[in-house]
Amino acid sequence: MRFTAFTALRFRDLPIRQKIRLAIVGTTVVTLMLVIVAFSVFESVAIRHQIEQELDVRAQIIAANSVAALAFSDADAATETLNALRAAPNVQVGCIYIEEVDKRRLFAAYVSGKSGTLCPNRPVSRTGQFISDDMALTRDIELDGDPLGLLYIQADLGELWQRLLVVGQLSLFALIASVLFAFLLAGLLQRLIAGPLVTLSEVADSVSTTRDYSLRAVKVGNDEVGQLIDSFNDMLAQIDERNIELQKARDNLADQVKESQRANQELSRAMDQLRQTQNQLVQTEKMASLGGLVAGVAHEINTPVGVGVTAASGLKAKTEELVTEYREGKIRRSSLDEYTEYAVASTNMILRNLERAADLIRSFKQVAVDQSSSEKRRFALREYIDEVLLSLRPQIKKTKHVVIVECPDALVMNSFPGALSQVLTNLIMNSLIHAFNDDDTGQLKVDVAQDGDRVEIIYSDNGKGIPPEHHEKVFDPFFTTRRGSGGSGLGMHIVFNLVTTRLGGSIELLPGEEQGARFRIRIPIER
Amino acid sequence: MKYRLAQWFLVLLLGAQVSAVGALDSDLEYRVKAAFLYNFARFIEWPATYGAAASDIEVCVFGKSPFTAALETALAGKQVNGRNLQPLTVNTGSEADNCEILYLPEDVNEREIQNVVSRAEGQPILTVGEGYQFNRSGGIVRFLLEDGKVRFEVNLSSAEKSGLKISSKLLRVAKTIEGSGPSG
Repeated sequence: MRFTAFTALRFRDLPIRQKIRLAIVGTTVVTLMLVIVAFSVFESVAIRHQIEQELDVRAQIIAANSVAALAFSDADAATETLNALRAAPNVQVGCIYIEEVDKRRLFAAYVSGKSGTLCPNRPVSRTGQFISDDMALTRDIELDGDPLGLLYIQADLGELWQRLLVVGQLSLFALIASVLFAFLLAGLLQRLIAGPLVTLSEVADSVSTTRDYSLRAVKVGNDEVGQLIDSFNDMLAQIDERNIELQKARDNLADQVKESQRANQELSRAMDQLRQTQNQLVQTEKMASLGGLVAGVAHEINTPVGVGVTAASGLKAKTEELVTEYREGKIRRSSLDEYTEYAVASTNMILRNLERAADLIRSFKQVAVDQSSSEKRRFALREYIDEVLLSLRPQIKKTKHVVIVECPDALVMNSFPGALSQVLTNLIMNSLIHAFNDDDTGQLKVDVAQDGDRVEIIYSDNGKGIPPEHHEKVFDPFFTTRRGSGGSGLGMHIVFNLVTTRLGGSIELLPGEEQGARFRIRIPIER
Repeated sequence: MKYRLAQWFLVLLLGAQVSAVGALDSDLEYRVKAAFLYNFARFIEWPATYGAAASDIEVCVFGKSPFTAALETALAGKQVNGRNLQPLTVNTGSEADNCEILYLPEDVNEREIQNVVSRAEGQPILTVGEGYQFNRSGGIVRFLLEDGKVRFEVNLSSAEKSGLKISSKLLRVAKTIEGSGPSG
């Protein structure tokens, strides 16, 4: 086992030339050995058979010739008959036994001088034994079916071995000659068979060391090796081609990576800019609404202040009139009474208007401060909504719309009023801008209810409503249907942001109503 | 059959033993010769025309002789080629005309032998006799003693004349002479 494994390993590692030589010589040796063995066996059997036949014929003749000798008990005649065996040098012993009453007795014998063999007491036939130096056969001697005796002949097989030796010598000679011939032939063949393979192997080696895939093996014939060389060359060509493609693809990829990196950078820069712009826009919008507030405030305060100024200037004229009359001494009781009455009325009017202005300023100041600051405080919701509406009166007053507020008086929140003010302002301004045609008489409604620790504000108008296809985009930044006419598209986005982050609540557009837009805002009472 | 055969071999054996000491007693000698006569029948072919093929082989003894008893014993139940062997006593030459084998014992006188042999000559009758003169006077086989053993001598001319086919195997163990008739 170990031996075969070892030789198998050795054989596997041998160069192909040696393999071919070994295969041819080995095959020759094995084949010849088989032939020689088969031939020897056949020859041995044939020779043995021949010897046996010769012996049998002799036995037959002697048996026939010794019938009378036995019949007439003539031992001399029998011996004489047996002496005929002298002609067969391979016969060692010939014996004739005579049948007696109860035993078989040696009757006549021939013994070859060469061997010391004598007639056996119990003659037994010995043929067909493959390995033996001699063979023996017995033959009954009969007369008309009566057994008279037995013939025993023993022959040595020296002739057989001699002939086999000759066969062996011839075989050995043939074997040596064949091996020599096979060796020479193998030398010739291995050059033919292994030559191209060795060349191919060398080319493959040099390709793998130099990495030069443009090398090609030279084809010699059209056999399997030729096909192998073709395939090898094809493979080299494909590798070469693929290498080039691969290099190209690699370059492309690098370019693309570089480009996409650049694009990414640009994109993120653009994103940053966009975010900045958005923030700026949100701030601007906030400031714009503050500006609008300031404009409204100015307009609102203008009226009482104007009344006050008129009243004060009328009082001043009346007073100067009275002073002049007093200096000229023409003062009369009636003019003093008239002045006093006028002065009281004027000062009352002035006072009332100044108080009104002061009230306005205070409330505007509050809203403005709330809008611009992010201060959290406690406030009564109803009053605060009224204050916000008051600040929006200049815009509302330009229209014929009515604002209805339904809110429990006792509801007090602790939250960010500025954010809430901005939310309401934006919602109302949106309704004013989008919901109605110019001469419509619309209704805006702020419906507040307490729901546990939350406040639910339903804001609605009865205007044109929001088309269903816009519902999803209502809170998106920069979504506007009126960009051309000054809409920034940020109003509702600001509303959404303030409700969800600053106020910590939620806002949704309620669907389903035939007319108008309805928003539900839910915010915690205690932020 | 086998038993009888064995008996017969015993006879042969005894004959050999007795012969070794040189004194052959007559009873044993008869038995050996009787067995020889039987064996002659086995090695000799008679012409097909002589006697019916199926009829017995008549082994005749000339004259009254103690040998007849030994012959009867030897031939009892024996067959050759399907023919029974029949021992017979004949007293004249004409009585012997149908015999296949005719044995003339020692005590038959010279003249009678001459007559009988002359009559049988040319006939397919195996004449067997004793004494040196027997074959010279036209007899075919004669017994003789050699080293105390029973042997026999065949006159080939007489045998040829008789038309008998004597097996070469028999001749191999026989002494032979090329003797001619009394005239020759």
